[in-house]
Amino acid sequence: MIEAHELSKEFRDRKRGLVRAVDGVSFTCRPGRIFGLLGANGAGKTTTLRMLATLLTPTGGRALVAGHDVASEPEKVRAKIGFMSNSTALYGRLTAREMIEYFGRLHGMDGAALRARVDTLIGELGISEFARGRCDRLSTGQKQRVSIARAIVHQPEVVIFDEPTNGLDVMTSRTITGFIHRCRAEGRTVIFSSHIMSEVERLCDEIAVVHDGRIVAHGTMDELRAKTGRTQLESVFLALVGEPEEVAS
Amino acid sequence: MRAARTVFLKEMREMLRDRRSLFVAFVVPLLVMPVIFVIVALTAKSRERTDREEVLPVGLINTVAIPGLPEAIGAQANLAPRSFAVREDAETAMRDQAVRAILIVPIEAAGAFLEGRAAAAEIVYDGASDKSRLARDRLEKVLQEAEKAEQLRRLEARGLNRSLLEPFDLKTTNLATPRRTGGFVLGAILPYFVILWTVVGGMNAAFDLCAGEKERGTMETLLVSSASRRQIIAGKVGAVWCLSLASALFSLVGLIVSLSGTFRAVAHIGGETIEVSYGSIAAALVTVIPLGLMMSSVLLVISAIARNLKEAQTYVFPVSMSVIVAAMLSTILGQENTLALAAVPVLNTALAMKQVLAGIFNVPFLALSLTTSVVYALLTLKLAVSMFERESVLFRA
Ligand SMILES: Nc1ncnc2c1ncn2[C@@H]1O[C@H](COP(=O)(O)OP(=O)(O)OP(=O)(O)O)[C@@H](O)[C@H]1O
Ligand SMILES: [Mg+2]
Repeated sequence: MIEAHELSKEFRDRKRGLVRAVDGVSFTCRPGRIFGLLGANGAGKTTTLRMLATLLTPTGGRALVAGHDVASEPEKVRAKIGFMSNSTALYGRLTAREMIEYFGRLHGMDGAALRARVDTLIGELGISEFARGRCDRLSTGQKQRVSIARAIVHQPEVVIFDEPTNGLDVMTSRTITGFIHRCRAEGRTVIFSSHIMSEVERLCDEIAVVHDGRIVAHGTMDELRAKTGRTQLESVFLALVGEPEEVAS
Repeated sequence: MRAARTVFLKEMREMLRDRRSLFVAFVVPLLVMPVIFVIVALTAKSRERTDREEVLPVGLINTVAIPGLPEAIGAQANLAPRSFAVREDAETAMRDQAVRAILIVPIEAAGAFLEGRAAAAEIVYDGASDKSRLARDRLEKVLQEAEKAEQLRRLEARGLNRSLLEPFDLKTTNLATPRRTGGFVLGAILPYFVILWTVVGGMNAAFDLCAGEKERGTMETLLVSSASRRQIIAGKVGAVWCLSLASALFSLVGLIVSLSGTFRAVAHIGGETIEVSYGSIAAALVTVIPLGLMMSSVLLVISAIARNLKEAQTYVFPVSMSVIVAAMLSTILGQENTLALAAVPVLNTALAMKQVLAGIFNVPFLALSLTTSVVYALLTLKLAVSMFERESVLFRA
């Protein structure tokens, strides 16, 4: 469960002055459902998810993740979440197995329980062939699988993905989307961000459209269609963020 | 503290897999230093030999006027005398480097010498040339010998004893054992190198552990684990500290091996025998422990602030310069210093090490320098922790 109330983040930027990256967003993500944050570049998706993952402290509002406040109990929140983004790379000099084990240990796992969990993940995610290979020698798809294993080694209640399929080929993307579906089936709370409308439509039970740090629309894809009176994904999005549609000439 | 241990062990494992880091931290201090020392010592030795043996041509003008002087010069195997009639010719020869120095005895000097007065003499040399300076020194030495002989002759002619001119019969006795002399010699250079390696040895690793992680995108992966920031930075400081101490130890071993080797090669240094005391070397190494913690923390502060490795390398420059200057100061300053110096970071460790090596136990100085080192180490560690807890430092746009 994730509950965000009027969550805000301001950055003090040397050149631009005060930047309101996230400006009072409120939403709720329920267990067993997939929540999507849809927005263009710079909309504030990464900043929102980083606040939920306690990497950044909110400058306004509050958020509860798995029952814990992100600002006052960051370590308890982190024990309950699995986070993955473009900037959560692997340690190149560790092997795939060591990488997964290391994060299990950091989450307080140990001994036979840890070994069993790592074995299960290696089996389920098809990592066994390259489990002994150093992470810097793995292919992008292989790395992605190890990253998934790393993120869920401690069986998190909440899974947070920041543009998980960005820059991946169709097959690797499918590993990810398959995994997201599985998390939902297992009753986890899933939130992920994307700027690809078709992906959001395909995966999400609920969508929040973010623009300039605010949520401009919220609901299922059908609700959003009804709200804008359009059917084409792109035009739905453009209508929601208030951009005039270009007329093809 | 369990997470800190996990981080520490993982960082150590990764560092041991990084050839570049290992090379800088271990191979260089252990092998390169001795090689440099041996080369320097051998060069110095061969230089000394050529200085002693190379035959230098010198110009002589009217030296025959002083009895015994031409013979004394001729007896020097490393001087090739050549007579000139006039000063101008000799100076031209010197400009053409046909001679390296000129000894001139004026006409009137002969009379003065024979009458028992002071005879004028002049040595002409080129202060901008090594060989000319060397030729001057040799001529001076010959003249001094001749002077002594003449003194004795004049005293004896008057029936006087030599003690008239040398009222003291001085003798010096060295109480230092070979072991303490060894400590003194080691104390002159060892602190500088050991301190340098304490810093250099951990530098690569420290930069890798924060700035490098930011650059490679693993920092966020690590920060989103349930380990606290405090535990993570504790593990990282521990790993860098370990590496820097190991590197200091290796440099010490390398230095001692090479020094004992080169001393044997240049055994006649001062005619003193020296020995190395392993107890005092171990004690010297203890003084580096708090310094290692301080430097590891400082390096990690830099590494945390920097956005990437390149920035870290830029920011560290003033720090490494100050460390080098402080360590160098220790080679200039003596062993016994005012208590105030025990409060200067880095320098206090160097001076304490120097004292311990020489077997001087100035308890207030050692106690104060150890205390201040520990305090500085804890303060910088605190700074590293607080830097690592600041999101504006870890997520700089
Ligand atoms: N550390 C920071 N300091 C200053 N400004 C920042 C910082 N991080 C993000 N911003 C700004 O906040 C705004 C939102 O950025 P954010 O990364 O959240 O957007 P995004 O929706 O994830 O975009 P993208 O699709 O490009 O990933 C941008 O204007 C960005 O420049
Ligand atoms: Mg983003």
